[in-house]
Amino acid sequence: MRKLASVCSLFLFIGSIAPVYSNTVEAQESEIIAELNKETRLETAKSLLIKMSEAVHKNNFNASFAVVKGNNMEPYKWLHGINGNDELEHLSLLNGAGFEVFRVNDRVTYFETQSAPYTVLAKHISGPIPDVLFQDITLLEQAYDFTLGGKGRIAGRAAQLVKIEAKDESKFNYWLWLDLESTLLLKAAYVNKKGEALEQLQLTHVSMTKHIAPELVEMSKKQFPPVTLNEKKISTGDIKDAQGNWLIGWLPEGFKLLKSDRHNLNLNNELTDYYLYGDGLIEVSIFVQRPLPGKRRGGGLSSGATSIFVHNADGFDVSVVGNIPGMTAKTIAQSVQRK
Amino acid sequence: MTIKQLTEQDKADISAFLDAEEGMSDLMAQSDAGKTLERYSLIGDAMRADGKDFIHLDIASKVASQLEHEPIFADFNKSESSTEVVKEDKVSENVVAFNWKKPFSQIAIAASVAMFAIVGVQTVPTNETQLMPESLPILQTIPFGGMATPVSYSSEQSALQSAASGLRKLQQQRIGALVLEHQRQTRIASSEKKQQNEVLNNFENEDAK
Repeated sequence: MRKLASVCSLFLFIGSIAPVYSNTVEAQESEIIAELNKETRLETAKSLLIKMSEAVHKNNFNASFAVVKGNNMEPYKWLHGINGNDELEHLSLLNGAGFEVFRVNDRVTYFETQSAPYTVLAKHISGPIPDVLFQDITLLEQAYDFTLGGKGRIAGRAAQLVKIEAKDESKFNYWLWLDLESTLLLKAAYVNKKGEALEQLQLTHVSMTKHIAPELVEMSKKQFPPVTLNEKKISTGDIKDAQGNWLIGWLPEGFKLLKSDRHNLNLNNELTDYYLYGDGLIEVSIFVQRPLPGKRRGGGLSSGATSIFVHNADGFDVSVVGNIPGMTAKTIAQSVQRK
Repeated sequence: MTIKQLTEQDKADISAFLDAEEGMSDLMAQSDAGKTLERYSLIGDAMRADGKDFIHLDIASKVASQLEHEPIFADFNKSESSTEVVKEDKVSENVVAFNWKKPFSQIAIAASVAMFAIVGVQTVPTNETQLMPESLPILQTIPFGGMATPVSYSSEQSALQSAASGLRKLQQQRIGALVLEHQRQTRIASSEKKQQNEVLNNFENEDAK
């Protein structure tokens, strides 16, 4: 009898505990669901890309990355920091004669071996990473779809693959792997329609720092060349003037004319009619020039994602340069006609 | 002292010792079993890499003293003794030092860049009719510096020679110049895009007012 009583009391005891227990389980479950919701909310491709574009502007970081094109590799150092109200950035190619870019807010100065340093007004460094990724990513929605890929481990960190996929096959896709924690870019690649990476960019090291790197502050105190290349403001009139000469018959969907003029090439002073088209992610240059003397051959070249196609038309040469598939470059070049 | 001979007192000692309650008793330390225990525990410590305190194989100091007697080939002390500020000044001089590269003939560099663009191009079709409709002519991957930087071209020498018959030199130069011009124009365009955006924004702001 006593035994029965103790069993009863045990049940009572369990009964009194059970609701508490189930409460905690429910609490945990709801926490997990909230966590999941948070995750899924984070995980739309577009919001991740937007977060990334913000992250590269807000943080002090010190990164190294390598750009791989076929069997050629270019290592870069990338510093970014906030110094009071100033945003400072330095990108440096570490191999060969080098290539340096400094940015202080909206002034970007390029140092190259083959020409005098020059400064342009821009919010971003135009380098191996398409600069649209640092600004309004929604500009790309017309010509590209954003989709999520799998997760992986890149540069020692958990990464989420985000694909910027071209809506037609005349352009490359651009894949990005973003740090799940900081949404910083860890890896990126131009990928063709077969899924082969043509040109890859991979961070080998990234460290977020609380304070700005002292060399960035030091650098911002230097004198940079004044902004010289923007004295000619773009106007619709200019575009029409040069557009009068040639008819570009075909371009992939989504490309808009950014610039058109007649100028001498910076390097060899050759005169060219020049057209620059962009779809937000990539730019394509079209040069129409006087043919070179002698019997010449047309053809294409490529390096990583960059294609060059030279087409010898009747009485003029058309050259197309850009991060597009070779066939696209060829089709564009052959579509150019005299008006 | 064999195991069988262990007294209750010994067992108590060992237990206390292993629990780190007590040091090794004299009796244990002197016995063979005690020495074996000492050796084994030393090996164990070494393998677990704890007990750095009592393994005194002072390799670091030996290496250090050895290094002190090594002949000095380069004096790093100088730069180390200088302050951070001086170091950064040196870095900044590098930035300025770009200017001395300017005297390089632009054309010469263009040519070197263009040579890169040519490596591997051996089968440019002589005319358009030879092109396969579905495939692009030629196009091997060519390691010309994407940032238009002449990378070391010594290793490419043989490839260059075999490719020399490919395109005319003039065309090579032109292609090199076009690639660089594309990069340059892209950069300038990004600033013009910005100006346009600002103009648009201004319009929008005015509309809002």
